[in-house]
Amino acid sequence: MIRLFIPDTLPDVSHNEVLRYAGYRKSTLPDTDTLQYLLELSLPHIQGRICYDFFPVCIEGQQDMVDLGFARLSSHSLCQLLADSKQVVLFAATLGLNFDRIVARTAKTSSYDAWILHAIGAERIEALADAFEIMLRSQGYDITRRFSPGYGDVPLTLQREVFSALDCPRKIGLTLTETLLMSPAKSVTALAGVRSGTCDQSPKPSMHQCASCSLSNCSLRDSRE
Amino acid sequence: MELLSFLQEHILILDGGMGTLLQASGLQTGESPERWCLTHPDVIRSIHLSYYDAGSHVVLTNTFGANLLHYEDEELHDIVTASVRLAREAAELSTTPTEHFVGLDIGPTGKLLRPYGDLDFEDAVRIFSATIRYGLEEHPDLIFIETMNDSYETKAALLAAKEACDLPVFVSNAYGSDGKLMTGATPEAMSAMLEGMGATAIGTNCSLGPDALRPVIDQYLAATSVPVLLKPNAGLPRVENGRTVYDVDPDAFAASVADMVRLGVRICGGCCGTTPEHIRALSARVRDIHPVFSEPKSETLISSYTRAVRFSDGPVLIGERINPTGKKHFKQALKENDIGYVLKEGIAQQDAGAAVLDVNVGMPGIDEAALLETVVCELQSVIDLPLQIDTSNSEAMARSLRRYNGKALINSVNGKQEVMDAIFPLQRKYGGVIICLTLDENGIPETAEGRVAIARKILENAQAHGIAKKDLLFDPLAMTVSSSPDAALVTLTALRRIREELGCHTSLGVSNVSFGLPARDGINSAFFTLALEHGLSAAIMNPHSFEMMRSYHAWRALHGLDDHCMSYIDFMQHAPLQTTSIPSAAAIPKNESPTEAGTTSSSPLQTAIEKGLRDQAGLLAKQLLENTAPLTVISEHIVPALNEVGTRFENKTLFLPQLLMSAEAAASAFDVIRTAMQENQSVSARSRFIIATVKGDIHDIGKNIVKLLMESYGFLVTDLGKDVDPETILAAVLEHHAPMCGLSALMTTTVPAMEDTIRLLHERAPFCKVIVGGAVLTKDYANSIGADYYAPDAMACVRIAEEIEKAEQ
Repeated sequence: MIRLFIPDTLPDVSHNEVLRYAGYRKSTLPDTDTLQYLLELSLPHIQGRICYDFFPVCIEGQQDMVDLGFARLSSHSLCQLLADSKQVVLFAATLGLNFDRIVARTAKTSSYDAWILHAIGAERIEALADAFEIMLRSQGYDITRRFSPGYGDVPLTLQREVFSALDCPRKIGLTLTETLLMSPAKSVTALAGVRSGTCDQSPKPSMHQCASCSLSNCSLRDSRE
Repeated sequence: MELLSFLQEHILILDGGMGTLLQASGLQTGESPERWCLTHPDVIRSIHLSYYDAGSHVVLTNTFGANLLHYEDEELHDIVTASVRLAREAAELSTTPTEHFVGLDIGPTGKLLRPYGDLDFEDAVRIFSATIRYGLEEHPDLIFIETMNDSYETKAALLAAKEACDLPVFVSNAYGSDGKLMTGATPEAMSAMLEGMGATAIGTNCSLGPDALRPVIDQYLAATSVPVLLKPNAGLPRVENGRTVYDVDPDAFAASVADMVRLGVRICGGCCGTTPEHIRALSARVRDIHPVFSEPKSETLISSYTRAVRFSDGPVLIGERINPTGKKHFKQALKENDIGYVLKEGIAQQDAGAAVLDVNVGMPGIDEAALLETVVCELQSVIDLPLQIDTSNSEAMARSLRRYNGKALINSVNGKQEVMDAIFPLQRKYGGVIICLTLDENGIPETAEGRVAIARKILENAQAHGIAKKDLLFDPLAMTVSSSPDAALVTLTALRRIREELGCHTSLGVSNVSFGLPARDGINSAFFTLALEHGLSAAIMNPHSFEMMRSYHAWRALHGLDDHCMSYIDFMQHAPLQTTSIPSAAAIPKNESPTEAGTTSSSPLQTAIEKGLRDQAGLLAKQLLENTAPLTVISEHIVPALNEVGTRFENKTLFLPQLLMSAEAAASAFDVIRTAMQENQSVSARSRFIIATVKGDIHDIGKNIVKLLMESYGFLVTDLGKDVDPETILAAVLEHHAPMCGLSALMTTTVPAMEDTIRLLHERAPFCKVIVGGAVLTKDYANSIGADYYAPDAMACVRIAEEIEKAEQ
């Protein structure tokens, strides 16, 4: 059964994360007045919604084949991620179309402001996905880190199966273009393994995990880690 | 009995959920339910029959997802025709002693429409048309459009139905727990648009249980004159012992729905989680309730894709600035297809307090119908105010109304028969509130009596076309008081008489009254106050005029429409200063950060640009222009500042956000210079640069950054937008004989479109160098798709463009 997670509130915005997404690096003075103005402009337009479901997972042992319950594919990354899991939780999250509209409207008068909004959106969608993980853990689910189509060796084409398994357009108003782009733009789809046993409910060590990622030339890589 | 006559006398009972029953019959997850019309006809027929037997008057066909996006044409035909036959067979098999009707079910496409998604509005209309056309072959009794969560897609579906047949069309939207559609529309906004387009019945289904939909139903009942429908879920789902169950049982469901029937809901049934048991209980509860007929509503309503504007809430300000008449730069922008200029004007008016925007792009030498349609679509993609479509060209009016996402103001008709004959049918088809000018074949009457007589004539004609009085707004025409002393008095008298004798709302283009006089805003604002006092409902005016806005806020405060005068106080506190002071060089702080070293000899303008101070850069440029040639301001102040900033960006001592701020500061200086220059005199001798995000890609943030930077360096940029066809890009390159073209793509899935575009450009415009960029590209990847240059960031694009330019010379 597809479920909904629509949090009333999200954790406060991490200004440092927004600035990191915007491309500011340490030792520069950010324009905090504009950031504050843009937060006030955009936050009321965010309608964070998530739909999700659980599926049985089966690693078949040959050529890294894995059956996710809603799709079957060959992926070394997923086999590693899901080695201890009997189930996956699959979810789709979006900030809603009104946020895209605010970005588009702002872009008509200032590309700078639009760029900062873009960074706010990136921070908020991650915060929404984090809130979802925290909710699952609080219910006793021991879950692995989340993994999205397009990461590692998981093809982006998996998006089609994800969208059909979660009925995203109807449940949360999230759609997929022919070219596999998500609209509204500030959206995430991902899955995480559900390990057997209960979770120790310890908080996540780090909100972003640049250190564990292999993409060493990424422009967003956080050098502080 | 005909459906509509039956509806006059009975509460119409619909069916319940289909999905859960299909799963119980063995439909597997991932299997297409509609295909069961062909593979399991007995199952589908028996589900329909169980609903008729439970008391449904209307059963909906199993065609929720039956459309050309999910099925090939031939199979779609077979599924849709079979589905209507199966429902009809069940209707005939059922022995309940009542009427049985078949509704052709139309569900959403699952796609978002352009510009935020990739489905074109007309393609959406075609997709719905195909399903409806096939369904009509088997003669359903009505079309039932349901579970729509976007207003634009809903409009496409209703338009397809109205164009295909004269059957009753019921339209049902799915609202979230915030009481809005996923894309933002309120029930009042949907009601305005759908009733305006001629839907037979409107309402809501799915998403929530009956109690939770009560606020949505209340809004429908308050806003619409057509029958309201309700088809809620059986509450919220949960999993129990591995099975999905819903938390509202048949009795509770029926009791809750019946309560809303007593309030005025005329059509009811169930959606997800409801079963024949729910319908049986519902039928027992509502069978003997006498239908509550809703009062015809007299509220004048217009809407955008999110909200409605009510004319009874007090004077409505209609911004008049999107109009080329008398505006040199606006005309130039339209000629160059610079839609961004128009959008900025719209955004500025919204920020200044306009509640509606008038849109007029009429001028000689342009294709008005195409341009107006484009401008309307672009405006409604970024501004959530209702639009007033202003044209005397009926083709332009028709095309714009068709694409408009809501219920528009139509500007205008007058007492000329030929004009009424052209515009009234458009209102009937697309909805809208019409501005009616009190003039006719004999011109503008000089007396109030004459103008009221024309208003009466227009009203009678409109009513004969089936247009309600509430959908007309009369404009008794403000005339120039300097040439005719009683001009204002005649208008004011006509205004009051139209309000009192005809009971209609009114509108005026206020500023005509002061033509030829000095300090026009003085006369305009006084006349505006008088007009409001005589019953003016809406003014077409300049929201940037301090005096006009002050009169508006003062009038509202004096009429008790402004609680504690808060709007008036707020307006006066934030009113723009009447004079703007130019900052002195000393006012700009220097040496705040270590990266400032080496700029001590720079001018104030240069410093403002380097520090990214947008407003100050514009003011300082203005100051410099008093005794410096425009081209010198560019070459000795703007360019050196940009070069300094660009170098720091390349040395990684300054980062993208700061680069953007500097570029915007330079752009605001450029704007000032452009305004100061003569027409046809160019501020730049630099090359033309065409830029676009490729076909299939709907992201434009990266492209916009490159555009801004290229413009700030003086390149002549033609921005084609996002999701652009290769042919369109080629046409622009050829038209401008552009030596360079920038293409952007975000994902691997859109790189093939980039490759196609490059191939086409190299073949047909070999003089043009192609620069590519975007998140997934690398130098090698760019080479492999044939690009001439790869730009890893926006600054690199500027450097490449400078290199290409040098090689050209």
